[in-house]
Amino acid sequence: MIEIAVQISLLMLGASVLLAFIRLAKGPTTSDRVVAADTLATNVLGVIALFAIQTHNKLFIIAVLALAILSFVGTTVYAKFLERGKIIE
Amino acid sequence: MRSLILRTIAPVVLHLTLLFSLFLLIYGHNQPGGGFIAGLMTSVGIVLQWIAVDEEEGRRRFNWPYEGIFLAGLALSTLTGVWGYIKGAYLKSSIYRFEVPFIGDVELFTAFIFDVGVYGVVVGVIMCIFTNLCEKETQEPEAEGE
Repeated sequence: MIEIAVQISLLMLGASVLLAFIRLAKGPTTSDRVVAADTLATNVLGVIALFAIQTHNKLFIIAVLALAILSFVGTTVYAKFLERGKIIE
Repeated sequence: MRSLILRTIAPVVLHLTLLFSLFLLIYGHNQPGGGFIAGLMTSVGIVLQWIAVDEEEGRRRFNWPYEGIFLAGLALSTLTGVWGYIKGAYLKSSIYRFEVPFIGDVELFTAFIFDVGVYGVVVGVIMCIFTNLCEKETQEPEAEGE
């Protein structure tokens, strides 16, 4: 049962990654691209977590935690750069 | 000038990153994980604090000798290899057991000491790069004015 759920979730996350990548490629403004990149990172986190469920491997969960903190800080810094023009003032 | 949301969130994230980097440093002694990613996590927490406050206040808060940390980490990593060379187990992980009061048996791997050295190197290098970038960014307008 859980295997079928994981497969369906992987398919949906793949479609979501594709849509986010299209927005990343042809976003009209830079803000659209930043939001698309954040969505892409979150979807990749979901894919890694599903892969950890599928392979019964605990080590991928640590990768999920590390990538979550790094992507949060990256998005925050990019938002500040877009709003102020300078990261450190 | 100052974002209220960022200044409220940054201390919480600092605690999370420091705890997680300590976990990665201890967890990775004979498994994936280890010094590099732990140092990266620590410097990400400090950089986020620095971004949330002003440049002067960040320099006042985090006025640590980063070059010294980098050199001490590099020396610690090198001395671990030299120690193994003297003991006849070059580039092999040795295990030492200790009896620590209130905790019990503690196994210390030499790979863990090497990882602590790598941690110091990564934190020192990233914070050196970051502080130098700050200085250049603030000094450029003065040079143009002259």
